[in-house]
Amino acid sequence: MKVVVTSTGPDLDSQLDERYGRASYLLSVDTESMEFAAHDNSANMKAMQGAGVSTSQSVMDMEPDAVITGSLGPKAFAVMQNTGIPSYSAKGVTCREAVQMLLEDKLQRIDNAGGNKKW
Amino acid sequence: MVEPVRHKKIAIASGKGGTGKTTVAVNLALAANRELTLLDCDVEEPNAHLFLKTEWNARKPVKLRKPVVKSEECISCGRCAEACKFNAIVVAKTAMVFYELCHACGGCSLICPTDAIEEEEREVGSTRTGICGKLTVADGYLNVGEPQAPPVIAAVMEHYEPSLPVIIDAPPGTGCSAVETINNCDFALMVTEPTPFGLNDLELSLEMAEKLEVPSAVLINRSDLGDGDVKDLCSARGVEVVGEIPFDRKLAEAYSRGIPAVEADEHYREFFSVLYEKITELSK
Repeated sequence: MKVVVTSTGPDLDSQLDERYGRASYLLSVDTESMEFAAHDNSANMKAMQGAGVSTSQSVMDMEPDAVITGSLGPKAFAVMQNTGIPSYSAKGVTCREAVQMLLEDKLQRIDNAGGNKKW
Repeated sequence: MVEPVRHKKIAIASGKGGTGKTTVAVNLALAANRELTLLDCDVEEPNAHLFLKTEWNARKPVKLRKPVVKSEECISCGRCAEACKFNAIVVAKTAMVFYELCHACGGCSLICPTDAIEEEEREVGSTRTGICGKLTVADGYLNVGEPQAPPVIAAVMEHYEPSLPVIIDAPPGTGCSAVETINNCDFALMVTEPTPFGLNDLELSLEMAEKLEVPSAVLINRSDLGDGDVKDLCSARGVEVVGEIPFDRKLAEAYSRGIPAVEADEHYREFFSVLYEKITELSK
């Protein structure tokens, strides 16, 4: 299975980035071999607007089976629903731990847009 | 042959809100005592009309083009999403458009290889025009929920008539709305107050005007409250302080009743008439 994880750094032991659209990196991880490719997300991160929308486009291009991030804003959530790719929420863990938790079925599926909750 | 006169566009602006932009704009326009155009470009909160008994005679909708994807003709190639600089369109299983992000540039429909994107129009706001004595007044309203003021501001600006002097009540701040307005003006009178907030936001707006290459001057409102830092900033930056209005309870009371200062007190008619001559001269 291929999983995309939003990451604060370019490797698996980096902390997961809870921000989706403005994540520093997107890690595309093969869960069998744990081989991964790091995609620099800085162009989307610095977008004036629509960072979640454009990050979703980058994620789609990687054709993953699942996405792990903190939460999704309303637009990104709508896009990810449209793609049919399931997304999962993880907090305070490394990307490696997040993938492990997904494999152990310990992550919550994101079923609503929660990006603006704190406001 | 005589060259036709082109009057300079004078904006009354400020970084901080509530410093007295509208008070100054309305009173300058009235004190000029001549045919003049007053444009209220603060389309998110137009309020110049509260002080004028304007007879409105026209309302015009402001419309933006809105891309609509015909799903039966879309081949999901994604070129529209690539072309969009505003991330307003994305192609998942089907193309999705986020209108609140769209700047109506038309790029997506131009680039679509199968002509699957049609452009419809949607109303984002409106402008009004009317007459108030010697003044021609125009203002704009951005519809509730619409995020982008600049198209409505541009529509208000279209009411500028080069043969008449014009006073423009600008939106506050240094964001898109203020830039859209100031960038289209020849001169900016920055209204501020001598407080730390006034100082901070004045510095930002002076920097903005400098970047836009629009000459500016400063008017200090409630000049006897606060401290001298605003004046120090102006002299350090070489910006002229063209006037000061001390705090006056009578002025505040008239304001709260919607009475322009020039009508409440002759002293203000004199003050604003002198100020009008001064900034007309400075903007030449």
